[in-house]
Parts: sequence; C-alpha cells; structure tokens
Amino acid sequence: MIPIQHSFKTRILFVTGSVLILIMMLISITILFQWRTILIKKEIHNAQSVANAFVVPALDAMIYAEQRELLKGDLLETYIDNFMQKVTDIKYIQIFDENFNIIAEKDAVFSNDNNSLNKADNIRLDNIQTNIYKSTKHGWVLETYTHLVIGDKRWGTTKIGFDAKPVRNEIKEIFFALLGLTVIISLVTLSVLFLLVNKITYSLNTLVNQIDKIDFNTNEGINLTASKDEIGFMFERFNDLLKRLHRSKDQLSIAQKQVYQSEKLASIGRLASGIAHEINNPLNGIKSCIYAIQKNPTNNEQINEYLLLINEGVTYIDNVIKKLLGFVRQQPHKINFQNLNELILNVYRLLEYKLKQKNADVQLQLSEDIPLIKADAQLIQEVIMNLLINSYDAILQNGRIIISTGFYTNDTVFFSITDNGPGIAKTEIEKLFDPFYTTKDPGKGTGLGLWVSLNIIENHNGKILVKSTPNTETVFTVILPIEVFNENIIS
Amino acid sequence: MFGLEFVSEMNKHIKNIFSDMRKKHFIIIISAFLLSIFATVLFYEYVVDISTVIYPEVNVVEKTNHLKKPVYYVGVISRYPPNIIFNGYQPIIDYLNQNNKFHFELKLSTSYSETVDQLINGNISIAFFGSLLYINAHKQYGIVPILKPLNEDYKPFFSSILFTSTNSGINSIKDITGKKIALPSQESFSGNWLIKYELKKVGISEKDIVEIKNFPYHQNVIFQVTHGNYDVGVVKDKVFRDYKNRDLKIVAYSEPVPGSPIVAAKNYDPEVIKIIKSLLLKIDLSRPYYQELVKNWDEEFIYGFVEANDSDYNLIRKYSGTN
Repeated sequence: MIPIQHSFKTRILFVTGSVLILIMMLISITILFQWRTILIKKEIHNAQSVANAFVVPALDAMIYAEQRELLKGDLLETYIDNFMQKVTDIKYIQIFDENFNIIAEKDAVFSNDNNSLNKADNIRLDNIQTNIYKSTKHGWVLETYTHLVIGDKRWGTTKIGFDAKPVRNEIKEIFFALLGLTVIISLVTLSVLFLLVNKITYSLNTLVNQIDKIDFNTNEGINLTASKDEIGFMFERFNDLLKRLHRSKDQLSIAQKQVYQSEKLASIGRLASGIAHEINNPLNGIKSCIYAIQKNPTNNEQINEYLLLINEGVTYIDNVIKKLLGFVRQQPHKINFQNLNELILNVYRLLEYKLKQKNADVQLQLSEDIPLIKADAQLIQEVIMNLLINSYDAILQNGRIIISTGFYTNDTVFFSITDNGPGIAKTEIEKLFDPFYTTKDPGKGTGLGLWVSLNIIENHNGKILVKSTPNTETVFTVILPIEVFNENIIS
Repeated sequence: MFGLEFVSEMNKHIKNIFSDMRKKHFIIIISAFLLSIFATVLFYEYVVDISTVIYPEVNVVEKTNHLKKPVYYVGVISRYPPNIIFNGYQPIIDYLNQNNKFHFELKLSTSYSETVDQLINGNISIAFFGSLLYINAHKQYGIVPILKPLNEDYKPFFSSILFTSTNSGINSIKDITGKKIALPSQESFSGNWLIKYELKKVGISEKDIVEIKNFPYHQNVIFQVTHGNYDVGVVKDKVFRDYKNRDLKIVAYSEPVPGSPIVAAKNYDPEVIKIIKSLLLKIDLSRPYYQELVKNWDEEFIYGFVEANDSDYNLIRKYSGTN
C-alpha cells in the first residue's frame, strides 16, 4: 500500500484543498472588510444625518432663546429630552456654546476611559472628530460632533453619542455567516473533489489489481471496462502493450527452446568422444568375432559363442544409442512425478565412460528417503548433465566428484555436485549465470549452460546455490520444491 | 445507496489516513488545526473591534481676528422668523466683517418697534428696516436711511402682492368681499397697502370683509392662505417668489415702492456707515465673485444696493398720508 503522504489522492486533496480554502478565505475576508467598511460608513452617515437633524431645531432654539433672552441651556435640555425619547439609539448628548462651555447635556460620559473628548477644556475646533470607541458606561458608542453654524457665526457645537452595538452585531453576523459559508463550501468542494479523485484512483487501482493478476503463461488480456475518458484510453493502450508482451514472450520462448536445444546438442558434442569410445569397444569385439567366424566358418560351437558375444555388443551399442537419443530427442515437456535419484543415475550412466577417461572418483551419495518430485524429467536431466559436465571439465586426472541428494527443507529436496577442481573466484561466481559467460577454452563451451540451467530450475520454482573454495572444492546445489506449481514450465 | 457507499468510503479513507499517518504528520495536522482556530479567534477580535476615528474633511476654522475689533450690532425688524433672518442676514454680516476696523453682529428683536428702540437706545448701530416703519421712525426719532436694496430689475423698489390659492375663484380685488384676509405686521407697508389704499379704490370697506388678521411674519401669511385658513393674503414680492410653487396665484400687486432701507440712528458713527456703504455698494452680480458671495443671502439683497435718501420714501408717505 502506498503511504498516505505519497498517495496521489492525498496530494491532490491536500494541494487543491489548500488552494481552494485559501481562495475562499481571501474572498471571504475581502467581502467581510468591504461589508465592515460599508456598515461603519453607513452607521456614521446615519449618525451624522441624525445629528444634522438635531442641529437645525437646536440652532433655532438657541436663536429663539437669544431673541427672547431666555436661558438657552434650559430650553435645549428640554429639547434634548424630547429628542432622546424619540431617537432611542442615542446614548448621550452634549451641547457646547461657542467657547466650548457645556450649556446642556444628558447622560454624557465624563470618565477618561477612552479617547473621547468629554471635557470642554479638551475640545478645539481642529481636533473634533467622529469616532467609535468602547465606553465603560455605554459600551460601543459612535460619537459625532456637529457645529451649530450660520454663515461664519458659530453658535456652538453638539456632541452626540449613538449606540454602536447594532452595527457591531451586524459585523459579527456577517463574520460567522462568511466563516460558515467558507467551511461549508470548502467541505462540499473537497467532498466532490474526493469523489472525483476517488473515481480516478479507483480506476488506477483496478488497473493495478488486474496487472497483479496477469498470467504470462496464458495469453489472456486484462478484464477492464474501458470508459471513454483518459483512463479508458490508458486501459486500451495497456491491453495493447500486454498483447505485444505476450507476442514477445512467445518469441522469447521459441528462442529459449532453440537455445536449450543448441546447448543440449553442444553437450552431446562434448560427449561425442566418450560415446564413440563406448561404441568402438563393442564394435571392435564384434569385428574380432566376425573375423574369427570368417576364419573358421565351420566351427558351429565357436560361431554360436561369438554370435552371443556379437549380440551382447550390439545390445550394448543399442543401449548407448538409445540413451543418447533419449537425451537429444525433443519431446513434449511433461510434468510428472520423478525420482530424482533415477534422473541422476540416467545422466551419470551416459557420462560414465567419459568420467572414466579422467579416472574420476565419482561418489554417489543418493538418499533413498527423498520423495518423488513433480518435475519435467528431460529438463532436470539437462541441468544435471550441464553441472556434471562442468565438474568433469573442472577436475584434473583422478579428480573427485561427489553427487548427493537429500531433503533441503521439509518442502524441498536438493541434489549437489561437488568437485575438487581449481574452484571459482568470488568475482567470477557473480557472473556464472550470465548468458555467454564461460571460462572454458574457445569451442569447449557455449557460455549458455548455467544460464539455461538456472532458467530451468527457476521455472521449477527452485534455485541454484554455488559455493566454491579455490583449489579445494566447488559445490553446485540445486534445490527443488517437492511440488512444482507451474504446470507449464516452458510454454 | 450512494450515500451509504460514500460514508463507508469516507470511513475507510479516514481509517487509512490514521493508520498510515505517522506521528509527525498527525502532530503537524493537529498543530495546523489549532493554529487556524487561534488565527480565526484573533481575526474575529480584530474584525469586531470597530474602533474608528474619522477626521472631518473640512475643519471649521474659527475667525478670531474680530476679537480685537470693536463690535457693532446690526438690527433686523422681525419681519421673518428668527432662524430665517439668521440664515439670510448672517452671510451679509459675514461679508461686512471683511473690513479691518469693525466687527458686526446681528441682533434680533421680537417686534418692529423693539428694533426702533434698540436703534434709539444705541444697542444697535444700523438696522434693516421696513419702508413704512422708516417714515414713522424718521418722523419721530430722526432715523436716517443709508442704503436701499435693488430688485431683480436693478431698480430700488419692491411691490406688495395680493395672492390667493390657484383653485380660488378670486381673480380681482373686488372678489374679496365677504372673504378672510391675512396680513403681515401692521407696521409694514404690506400690512397696510391693501386695506388702507386698494379697498378704498374699489369701494370696499372693512365691514365687507369677514376677517382681517395681522400675523408676525410674512411667511405666516403664506401658510395661512395655503392651509385654507384665509382666502387671500398680502406679502412682499420677494416672499411670494419664495413660495410661488405652492399653488398660489397673484390677484393684484402694488405699484413699486422704495425698497426696505438700511437705516442708522441720527447720531450714527460716520466711519461705520462709510465702511458699510463702501462694502454693500460694491456688489455687482455681473462678477462671479459676488455671484458666489450672495448665494446664501436673503434674496431681497442679492441684487445690490443704492444710496437712499429720505425723499425716496415720499411715495410711501403719500400712501400713508404722513408728511
């Protein structure tokens, strides 16, 4: 399984999701600030409108009071009371005269808990401002100043504090609405993205599963429902690739067969002198018998004796030829239960004469306890032949070859061929199974023997181990499972 | 069943995430989540902190040079409500204050006679008067005219207008028999013209009128007629123009009489009068500066002034029978 941090799905979801959430956040923040600015401006505008509405009659009242020589403050405070009863958003009102002396007020803030100008001494014409601040008495307040002016004559100034809590609540609502919207849209989009990515990765996983199920021993394609999108296109191309692979494999199999056969023939070539000698001896005997019969054709007793010898010689030759043909002939490969010891003996017998040429001390240490194995006899014999010829080539005159069999594990058996030849250097061992690699003189080896042997054994789900101690001994151990799972070793 | 499959797929995916997730990734994700919550809270606090300071685009700059100048008060007869007087006359005072020697302030009164008293008592130096009030005050207290305003034809006259509602059947002075009449102050020309001169001309006596009532301000007369409380009314032509879009029609108007003068007490300060005259006689509406200057002035004075002489008001004297 692919780790989550490397998963295609996770990466797409993470990258796209992050970008999406970021964009949504930017949009939401922009909208929020736009709304916030608009709401605050609107609130200030409304406050200033109300303040202006208050100023006109307040100014009239001041003029009226002056004309009638009434007390301005009393008149204005009455007016402030009435106004505040009607406009409930107002928290406090102060009216200053032209010298910024307070002449009328209601609920004004006198604490120094804010930057508000709440003392007449602090007010100057050049620092009058509209501001929003948090007051300990009234909470959030929007404070606005308006001058009572006609022409160049300033009669005074009003300071009105409005309740700013509603606008703050509106901003809060917008904040939570946008936050909710951002979360919901992000979740919905991520879910949709998840489904889409899931669909794509599902198709890819299906392809991967089908790839895992591909059996190169059959020519079956993969079973995928191709859609009309890019994934479907990929499936089609993959099926085409698979067909080409099958074709290549068939061609490779044919070539491999030819190589096997060539290698086999090469082995036979190397046996030829031994075979010739093996046939030559009985032939000389037959020739001597025939000569003796021709010399004395009337001696029936001798003739009968020689005919028996001739028959024995011909039978011997027939056996040699049969063994040879049996090894060379291309027969259909079959998996059957085989006795490994018997297969070894068959090959040994074929090479016995050749081994005797070097007066080799061949020791057969075959375990009688090993079970039958499921294998292709011809191919296993070919492997034994290759390894035994290699050992033969390796040993000197009077050299020693030990052939042994036995259990390797509970489920596997082995056969090993040990010789006391010069051994193989460590660096050489790594290359032993490469095709066309040989240490023999030109014409004496094709360099394919061990490569073919390894292929055969691997196709039987087995393996070949090599252990060599230079100038002491070399051991080739072939391990084979008792049951061979691959029914078609070479198709 | 799509929903169940989706939930099951999600569960599987989440399980995969947690089973695959290394401790390092888990810590990173949890940290990022906590950090985003912290950032959201901070951002929330920032957003809901609506503390704002907005400086006004144009600051009011108090002109303080007047503090060093002697103050002279300018009176206005109570022909209009005080706020209207301030709105229309304060800009004229602001203009007069452009001089370097004196500072002028408006001083209102509650009646025409109070303005006369203020002038005699020296509480005010000059005053915006009515024509009829002037001839009486001149006769009694020697008050002198300084300037008189020009009308839209640049003539120093005005007219009083008899008006009624557009849908009224009154089309001439003869039609007002048996009607109710609203008039401005008895001390104004408009408050006397119709009753004392025009009705006599057409042979209507006061007995033929159901009701005649004087109101403090010209605007009161307009509102009384538009509200239907009175059938006809008389106001200065300037006031009628201000309200002519209120379904009003002219029934008759007086011949042009000399405009309401700016007057001074007999013992006026010639330096003050000189400055006032020099400033107000300079007004020339053909020049953009003055067009802009008079924009907020009472319409009666926007066309400028000419010097006034007592003899200019003989026509009024003829109407009132005063010598």
